[in-house]
Amino acid sequence: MLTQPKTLLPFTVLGGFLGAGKTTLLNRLLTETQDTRFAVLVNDFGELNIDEGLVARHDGKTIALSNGCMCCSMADGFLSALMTVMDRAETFDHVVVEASGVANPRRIMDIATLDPGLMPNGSIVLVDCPQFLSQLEDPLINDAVITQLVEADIIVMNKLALTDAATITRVHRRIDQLNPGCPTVINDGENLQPALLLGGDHRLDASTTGSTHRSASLVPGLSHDHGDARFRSVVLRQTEPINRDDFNRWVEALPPSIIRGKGFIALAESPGEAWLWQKVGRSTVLARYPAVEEIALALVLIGTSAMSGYEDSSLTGLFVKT
Amino acid sequence: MARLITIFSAQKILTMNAYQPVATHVAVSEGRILGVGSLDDLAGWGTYTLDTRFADKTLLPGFVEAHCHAMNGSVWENTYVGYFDRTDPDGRVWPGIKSLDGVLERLQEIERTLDDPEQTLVAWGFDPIYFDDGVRMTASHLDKVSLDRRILVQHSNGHLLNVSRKVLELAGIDASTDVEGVMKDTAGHPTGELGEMAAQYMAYRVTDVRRFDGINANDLWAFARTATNVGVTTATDLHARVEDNNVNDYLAVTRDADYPLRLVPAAAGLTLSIEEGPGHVASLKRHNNDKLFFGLCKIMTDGSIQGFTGRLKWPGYFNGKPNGIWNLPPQTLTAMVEAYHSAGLQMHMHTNGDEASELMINAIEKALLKAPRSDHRHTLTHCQMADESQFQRMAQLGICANLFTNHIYYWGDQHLALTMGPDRAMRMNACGTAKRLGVPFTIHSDAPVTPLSPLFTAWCAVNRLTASGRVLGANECIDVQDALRAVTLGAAFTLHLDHLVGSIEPGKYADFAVLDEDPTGVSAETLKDVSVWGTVMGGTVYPRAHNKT
Repeated sequence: MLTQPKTLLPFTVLGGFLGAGKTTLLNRLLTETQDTRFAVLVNDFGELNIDEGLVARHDGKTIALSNGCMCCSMADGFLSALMTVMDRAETFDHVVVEASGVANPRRIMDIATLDPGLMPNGSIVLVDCPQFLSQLEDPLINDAVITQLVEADIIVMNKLALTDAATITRVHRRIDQLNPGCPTVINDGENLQPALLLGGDHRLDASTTGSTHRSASLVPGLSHDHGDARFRSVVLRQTEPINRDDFNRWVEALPPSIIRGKGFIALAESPGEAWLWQKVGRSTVLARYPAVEEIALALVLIGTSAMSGYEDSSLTGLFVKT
Repeated sequence: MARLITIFSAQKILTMNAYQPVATHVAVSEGRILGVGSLDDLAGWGTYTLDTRFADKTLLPGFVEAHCHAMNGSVWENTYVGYFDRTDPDGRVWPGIKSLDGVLERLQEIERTLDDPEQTLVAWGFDPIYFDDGVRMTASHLDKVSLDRRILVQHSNGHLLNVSRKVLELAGIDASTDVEGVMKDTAGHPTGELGEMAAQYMAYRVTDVRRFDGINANDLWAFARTATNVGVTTATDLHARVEDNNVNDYLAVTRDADYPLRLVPAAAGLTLSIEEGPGHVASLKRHNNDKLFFGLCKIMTDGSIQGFTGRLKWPGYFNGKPNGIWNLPPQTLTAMVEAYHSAGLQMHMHTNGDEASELMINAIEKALLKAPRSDHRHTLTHCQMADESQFQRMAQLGICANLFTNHIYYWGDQHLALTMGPDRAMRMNACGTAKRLGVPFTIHSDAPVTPLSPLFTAWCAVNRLTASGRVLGANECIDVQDALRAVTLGAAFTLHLDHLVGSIEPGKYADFAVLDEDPTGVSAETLKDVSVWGTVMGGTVYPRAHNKT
């Protein structure tokens, strides 16, 4: 086996056809980043809009930024770029891959499923709303566009300002037909926080999560019941171990308005152990976590402003909304 | 001062030069051809040295391979386990292996020579589709080679990989692994066969196999040896990394007086940004010398037909598989064509399926409307499925074709049964149609995908025989003379080098393929068996490896 790393590096794939707005989102991520050291794999540097004052080093294939982020070109192929990043994985908090406009994000995410140093953090697929309906009619590309949507964990409807309400409704309906129940975020042109969309920028670290105060920073910058106009989050603190079946039923019933969830719980079957739970779109993972003392038993849920449905009556005694 | 003149005599010289197709003597001076004809015709140039070593040989223009890769040298760092015979740079023939047991035996032989238990054993060219019993390799098979060694067996299609138990264990791939591309047996255990990027990423991550970052000088020397062995004196490296270190190595080898090959590296468009790529490729031309020709650009559009990743027009794959993939969005590919065309550069475009050919024909047409330019010679390479209407448009637009005739032999049976069906398989690599409609064309090996050997490639175009012996589309066969022209002057034309190489006529480089027999004097069915003695490149004689003393 590979040496089990102490930390798991979140791995997010940004997908979507040419023109959907991936690079714009990445540019914001790189300039607005405060404490998170992102490693960003991009197709080329051409459209990246990096403040020259931030560039610490540029060696042709990589650009290191003074805020700890790094952009890595996939000119030599995706795997070559990823291996460059993984060679210094400990210097990053989060890997974001900007998929090519025709790539299937799932095949890229498979890498994080396999690599024990990585933690799948969701395939986010951006939809170019003004172009989407004609893309579905174009035989050269409609298979790629459909595959991207079908394989998405989270869908972002983008560029709404460039089209009309009737089109947006039709786009929304087609998305729902292609990937029913997939959490869909509407980017209405206001200040969508990329870090919110990507979930926490927090690297799960067995040696630091021992702090009982850590749970609130599973999503840095977010306190409980806080968010911008489009996002809300809640922190649910656990008071006693939960029956696994009850917990699974609760997870199953979470509505699509809840986009992400992450945190630690204790199960009744093994009350001394912590379990890491993560939800990205409809995918959820529950895995035993290396024992640490004083781990905070709490979950963070992030959703759209309409989020609800997490306060299932059967769990109200177990979770306390803080 | 008198010129130093060498006159080579030959049994026959096939010049590919229309006004003098056959001769017996060629005079060489300063690395170039001074004159061609009889000894009497040439005597007027003055004092000469007569070199008669080729008196019983046939000379052709040095072969020009317009679609191969310099990796054709470096693949031999690993063990060959393919189905067909293959010759290494030193001239050793590695017999094709016809069974899985045979493959394991060869791996066991190599295993016995390895001292370092940490060294990864890498084999290439594996192709079980040719085995009669349809057997697949598993990790249990590789247990017979070694229980502890990391072993990677690369399939010839480039998409699949077999790994040993040790690699599975190190990569953490087991029954619980649920990722596409990890093949499992009926009991749910991984077999060791890995498809798709993710599984292969893990396999490579836990081995010490070199990461591919473009070509180096060693690769280029090995590549040149493989070229000399088959009579090639000009060859492309048709998907080249053009970072400074690669450029320096191309320069270093071609400045060496003993380097026996003219190189045409085609910059890989995929590795360059649209904004900066054209300027960079144009600026590389300042490095050009008499053996190095930068300025060509390679555009990758779709995948491969036998891998079901080529982009096909309706009705698609014969066995109903979904359409293939684009390497980049079609809009981006179209924008690339416009950018490189507008910069005055020439492109060779990888197009396997007919939808890919059509995209590129449309893109060139659009680029020409914006920036009219005569004699661009943009070339669709592979162009395997182009139909008559596409060849017509190519003729109108001045687009050349580089057809993958080796495919007819190596995968023709699969095209007939699985990918194309009988009718479309018959029109694949349609040299006859290209000739009839006046599309300038050449033919290629894509080495190391198939072996580098222009005489074999020409044989495919002439006979169109599949590996099982079936004639695939007799109406597209061309005659021997046309096929030999395709691998000399035809290829030179598609590289914009026909003023320098590709025929034996005054002023061109003295580059010859030296053959033991006259390829026009044997039956067309045996064209591939004509043996190559070696080459002359720039007037210097280079015997093939086994002819060196």
